[in-house]
Order: sequence, then C-alpha cells, then structure tokens
Amino acid sequence: MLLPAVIITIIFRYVPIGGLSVAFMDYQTVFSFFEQEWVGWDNFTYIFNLPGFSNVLWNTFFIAVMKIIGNLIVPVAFALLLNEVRHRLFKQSVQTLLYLPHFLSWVALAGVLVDILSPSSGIVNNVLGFFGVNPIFFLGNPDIFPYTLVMTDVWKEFGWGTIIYLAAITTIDPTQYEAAVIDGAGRWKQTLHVTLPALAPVIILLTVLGIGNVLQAGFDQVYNLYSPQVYSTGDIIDTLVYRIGVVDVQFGPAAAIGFFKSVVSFLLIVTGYKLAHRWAGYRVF
Amino acid sequence: MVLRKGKGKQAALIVSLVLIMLTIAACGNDTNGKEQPSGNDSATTTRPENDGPLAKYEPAIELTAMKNLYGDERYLPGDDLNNNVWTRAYAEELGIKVNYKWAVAGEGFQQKVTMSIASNDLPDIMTLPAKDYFTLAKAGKLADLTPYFDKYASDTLKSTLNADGGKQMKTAYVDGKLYGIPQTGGSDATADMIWIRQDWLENLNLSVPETLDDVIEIAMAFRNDDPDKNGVKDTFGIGFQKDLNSGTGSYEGFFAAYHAYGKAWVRGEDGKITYGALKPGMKDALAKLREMFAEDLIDVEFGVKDWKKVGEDIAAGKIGLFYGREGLPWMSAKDAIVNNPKAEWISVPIVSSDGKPAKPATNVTMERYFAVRADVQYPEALIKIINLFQDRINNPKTTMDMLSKFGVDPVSGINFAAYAFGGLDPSEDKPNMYFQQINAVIEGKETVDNIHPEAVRYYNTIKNYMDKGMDKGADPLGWNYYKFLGPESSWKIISHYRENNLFERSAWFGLPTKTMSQKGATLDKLQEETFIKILTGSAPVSDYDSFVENWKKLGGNQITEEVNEWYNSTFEN
Repeated sequence: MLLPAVIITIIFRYVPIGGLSVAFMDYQTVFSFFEQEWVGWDNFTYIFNLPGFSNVLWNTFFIAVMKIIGNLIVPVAFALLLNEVRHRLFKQSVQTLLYLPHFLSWVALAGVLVDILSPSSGIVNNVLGFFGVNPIFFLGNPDIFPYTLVMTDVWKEFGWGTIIYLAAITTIDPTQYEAAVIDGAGRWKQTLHVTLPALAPVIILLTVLGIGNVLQAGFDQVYNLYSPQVYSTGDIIDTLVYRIGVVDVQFGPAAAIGFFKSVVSFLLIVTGYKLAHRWAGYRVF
Repeated sequence: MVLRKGKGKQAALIVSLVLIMLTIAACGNDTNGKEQPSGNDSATTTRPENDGPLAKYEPAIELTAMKNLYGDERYLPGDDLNNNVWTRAYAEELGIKVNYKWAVAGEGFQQKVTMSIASNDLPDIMTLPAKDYFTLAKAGKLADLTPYFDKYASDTLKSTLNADGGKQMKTAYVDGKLYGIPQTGGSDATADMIWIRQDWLENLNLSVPETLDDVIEIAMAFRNDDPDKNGVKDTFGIGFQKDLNSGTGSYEGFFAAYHAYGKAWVRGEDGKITYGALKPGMKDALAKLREMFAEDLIDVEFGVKDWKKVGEDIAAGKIGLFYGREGLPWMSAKDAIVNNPKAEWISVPIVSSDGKPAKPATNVTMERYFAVRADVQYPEALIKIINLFQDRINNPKTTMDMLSKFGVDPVSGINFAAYAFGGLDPSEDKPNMYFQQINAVIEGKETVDNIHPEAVRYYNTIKNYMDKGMDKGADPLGWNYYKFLGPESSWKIISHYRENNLFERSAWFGLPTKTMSQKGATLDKLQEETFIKILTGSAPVSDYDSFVENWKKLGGNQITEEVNEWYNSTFEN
C-alpha cells in the first residue's frame, strides 16, 4: 500500500533534484537536456560577481528573518488572546477576519497599499498625523521600506498561524488548567506555565520549518511594492533574478541561484533542528 | 509516448528523461522526437499553375499553427478559433486548411512557445517571439523563405513591410537569409508630446508653452495658483511616475529638451550610436527635475506610483500638465473629461531648453516573427496567408464591406482581424494617413469617396461631433476621435514632428545583445536608482558623473560596441 506513495515521492521529490544540473549548464531551450553545454561553475561566478549582489543577499536575509520573527510572535500572541475570548461567535468571526487577507493577491493589495500608505492622503498617515506624527513615506523611504514589507506581510499572513496555534491550544488537557487553578495560578500564570509550554513543540516545529525560508523574502510582495527609490534596501534575490530573466531568459543563472538558496536553506534547517533538539529536546525523527 | 519494442535501455532513458522534464518544465526530448505528419499530408497536391501571391492549392493542404491571443476574443455564434471568417477564407480562397494546435493569451504564450520548442513539437506555421525566432533560425529549424519571398509576397505586403524603408524587415534576416516575416508596426506613436489642461491655462491667463521655461512656469502656476479654482491647493505642477519608459507621465519628452534620452539609442552624425542617457544634456535635465521636485512641483510620491496610479491623479483632476503619448484621449485624459466635462485637454509639441529644436524619441520593438518549420512542403503558404490579410485590410482598394467582414464588425463590435494568422500593420503608422485624409476632407480639399474606408468611419464620428457643437458630455466617443485624429489632435502633433523631421528614432531595436542580457538588469538598476536619487535630492547631482563612469565600466561600453555592430551588420551591407 505504501508503494504508490513512495513512487510518487520519488518521482516528484527526488528525480527533480537532477534538474539542479541545469545550474552547471549554458542552458539553451532549442537543444534537448542532454545536448546542453556544461560550463562548470560559470553560472555561480556570474551571479556572485553581479555588482551589488552582496547588498541584495543581505536585503533578502534581513527581510526574511524579520518576517520569520514577526510571523512567529504575532500569531502566538493573537492565539493566546483569542483563546481567552469566551464569546464563541465573536472568537470565530475574528479568527475568520484575520484569516481573510491571506487570500488576497499581492497584485491587488499593492494597489490598495500605495493608497492607504500614502504620506499625503493615506489613512495610515492621517491617523498618525492625528497623534502629531509627521507623515511617513512607508513605500518610498529606503530606511523604512523593509519594515513596511515585514509589517504588511505579517498583517496578511498572521491569521493563518493564529489558526494553527489555536488548534494546538485546544488539544491541551483541561485537567492541567484545573491543577494550576488549585495551585492558585491566575490567568496570566496559567498562560505562562501551562499554555506556552504546551505550545512549545508547535512553535519550535514551525520555526524550524520557517528557517528554511531564510532566503525567501517573498517575490510577489516585493515585486509589487518596490520602486527604484528603495532598491538599496528592498531589492531581493528573487527580484534580481526576475529582472535578469525578463531581459533574457537565462535558465542557467536562475537554476544556480535556486541551487544556492537550497543549499543555504538545507544547512539552516539542519542547524535549526539540532538546536531545537539541544534546547527543547524536540525531535521530528 | 509510444515506446518501441526491443529498446529497453532507450525506454528506461526516455522514462527518466520524461521525469526530468516534469521538473524543469523546459527541456526536451529531441532524440526521440514524435513522428508527426509534416503538415502537408495530401501528397497529390502540387503547386498551382500560375502560382502567385493568392493562388489556390488543389486539393487543399493542411497546416498546423499556433497563435497568441489578446484574451478578449469573442466569436459569432457557431464560430471558434478553428472556424471563423479567416480560417474559412484561407480554405476557400487559398486552399489552406489552418488547424490551430494551441492558442494562448498573455504571458502564457511565451511559456507555451518554450515548451513547444523544448519538446520539439512545433506546428507548421508559427508566431514566434523574437528571441525564439533567431534561436530556431540559427539552429536550422525554420524554412528558408528567401527563394519564395519575391515571388509570393503581394505588392500590398511588400509596401506594408517597406513603409519605413524596410528597416524592420531587415532585422528578420539571419546570415543573409530570410526565415520569417516580422510583425511590423509603426513607431511614431511612441513619441512624447505635452498634455495640458486648456481650461486651467485660461483660468490663470497662461499661454501654450514654447520653451522649457514656459513649461516650468506653467507647472509653478498649476501647483500654487489654484488652477481648478476650488480654493484648495490640491493640484500638482507636473505629472511624472516611477518608470523611465512610460506612455503617461513620461521622462523622455522632458529629457529631449536637453537633447538627451532615458532609454533611446541615438545615432550621431558620425554614424556612431550612443546611449541617450550618456548625452551631455542629461546632467542638466536631472538637475532641473531635482529643482522642480525641491520646489514641490512634482508629487512627492511619484517614485512609488506607476502610470496607472498617475493616470488616476490625472482623471481626478489633480494633474493638468504632463508628458505623454498619442493615446491619452482614450486613457486617463478621457477619464478626466468623464469625471468633469469642463476639463479641456490640448496636446502640444515638446519644447526645448535652448534654441535647438527638441526631438522626441521613438522606438519600435520587434516582438514577433511569423515563420515556417523547416520540413514543411510548401513554405510559401505562410506568405500567402499573410497576403490575404494585407489584401483584405491594408489594401488601398479595400471596401467598407470587406473591413466589416474581416476587420471590426459594426454590428457585434467583434474585431475579426484578431483571429487572422500573421496580421501585420504597415511599419509606418496608419493614423498618419488617416489624419491627413480626414483633415483634408474637413478642410474641403478632398472628398470622402477618395479616402480609405477606415478613415471615413473616423471622419463621420468627428464630423458628427463638430456639427453638434462639440459637446464632450453628450458624445465622449466623438471627443476621443476629435482629440485623436481631428483638427486639434495628438496625431496633428505627430504630423508636425514628421513634417519638420523631428523624430529621434532609437537606432537600436534588435534582440538584446549578449552583454545586454548579462548586464542589462544591473545597468538598468544603476540608472534608475541614480536618477531617482538625484531627482528626490537624496544624492548630489555629481553622482551622475560616477553613474556614467560605472555604466561604461560595468558593461555599457561593450553593449555600445555590440549595438553598433548590430546596426552595421543589419543595415550597412
């Protein structure tokens, strides 16, 4: 019975690894896979020698890490808060509303965001202005742009994480809370000593899996929101590859970048897993 | 896929090959190509006697084809892509049965082409993106049309292709041989002009700009003197957006005041081609824009707005002065009059910062070529199919009935021309001719009977609009055509450019050169970033000098060399 699953996994997960060899080819679409010219490390040399590549790499890393952190803290916090809500209908509608932005595409959202984040007429700056804050150019100021990316991404995606954590919370044995109450624990102490420790494995699992995304800063989002003004802090590997690709379809360099990202992700996942094991005694295998 | 007996090893190879294909979407199995008919399966067919541009094959031949769609195609009841007015005409008049193997709209088209090439599954006649055309031609996968072109291309097709002196046509030659027919098009429509709210000018007692200083003066007034008289300072001086290349809120027209260009390649009198952004005037142009930005004449948010967003500002009556192209009467300028029928737009030629006339840049992109697979029996069939389109649509002798049947159907509004294979427009814009003809009739120098039926259609709309007192609110379509082809239209400005020989036609319009593909993205980033930083004041104007140095060093010099080489090898032999 296991065989079909194994075969499918091999076909769709292991065989494709062969495609990594494109990273070492001067790939021309008119020729078949086996007629391609091998160029060794040329594609890698080309990518790493692109002017400003280190800057782009740093932007990618910075934005992705901030997103991982934001997408860890905010959903946990919201799950804990929502868990305390007694009114069922209210709880569920909030949960659904938080989840909704997840379904919007960045193309549509970008148009909306340019308007609501506008320093002159946007609602966000109007509200801030009410409190005496000078208009902030969220999308045009290179110092602020990465944080705008992180905030909008967390806003869009945290509803999803919240649902996972809420689900995890419901699996906690109620007798533990009863025991805590008998020991004299209030709401806060219960959260601190029962809920959070029970959530730890899920948090660690999601974080370990998330670490693999450390070079995925989110192409859709960045591409639709950035502009030449914020290239210095907003240009990421994927947008750079896209621009290279649009000028000319260069499969070799694109595959090389993909290969590079995979290797980095793999190393980080292994490291993250080892750390999780050491610190939290958590193992997947 | 059929596996042949007794070829176990090969079968295993094919299986693994297929698996790999699944993963990288775009690699092929040439070695085990499918055995497909070469297209002309009726072996009894011979070339017709008295063979010529529109001679019919008896019995009919069949050709497979592929097509890029616009995505908004509609059909008459009972019709579809493989059965419509054009496919029926190909079958009845040329004896060619065209079967579309696939047709895709938008970006999917390129992917599908890449797949077809990679899997060696090309149809008999093809619409190919430029890059694929050249790769396939060099790989020997396309039929050489050189021996057929002279004999089979109709006079209309030849004049359509030669309207620009054959420049675009010449790009189709690979090592002296013709492997395809380029989808030609005009480039006049890419020239910038200045769009101004006439009613705002009148409110402030300003006149039409003749120099760049006038433009800046108007921008100042539009920003500070409440041109829409609503008592609120809610208007911008001049509209720009974030991209160097754009049809609305363009920079090229502004740069041209300093005889520099953001993207165009300029061929000097010495025959050398240089990049427009390196022209000496560019530094002054950027410094001037920086000054204007500092004086608050430009929206502080222009750097995050694309042309659509700026279009919204234009439509909302916040922008009354900007550089743009001929199509504005159909776009945001139209939205502005729909929102506010008092809005009055005029277009004027771009202006110069010194005494030397400013020349607007034009560019043409060779996007597609029509070609035939190498092993097709009758390659000239492609030329015949293209001839038919020319005969029906671009033929000077065509009739209104013909145009309604094969072009835009006045009853259903369907544009049948979109289903034609190999539909191509003259390499000079048709609106030029229409503008001349329509206005000759309006001035009484010509009669309606003597002008092209398509021009008659536009003339009637314009005449009707003028006769009824030019009421924009009641007849916005009349306004569209009046501002587009009428006596005060955007094509009048283009005809002014033409008459005074004012076009700076970008000298390079080939496939991206080798270095361009490798370094283009980097250089574009460098340019866009430097320009916008200078404009917004976050970098000193002197950064322009280091941009020039870096641009040259990072591959620009090599690209310039390659562009010159391309030009010389394409046109100078």
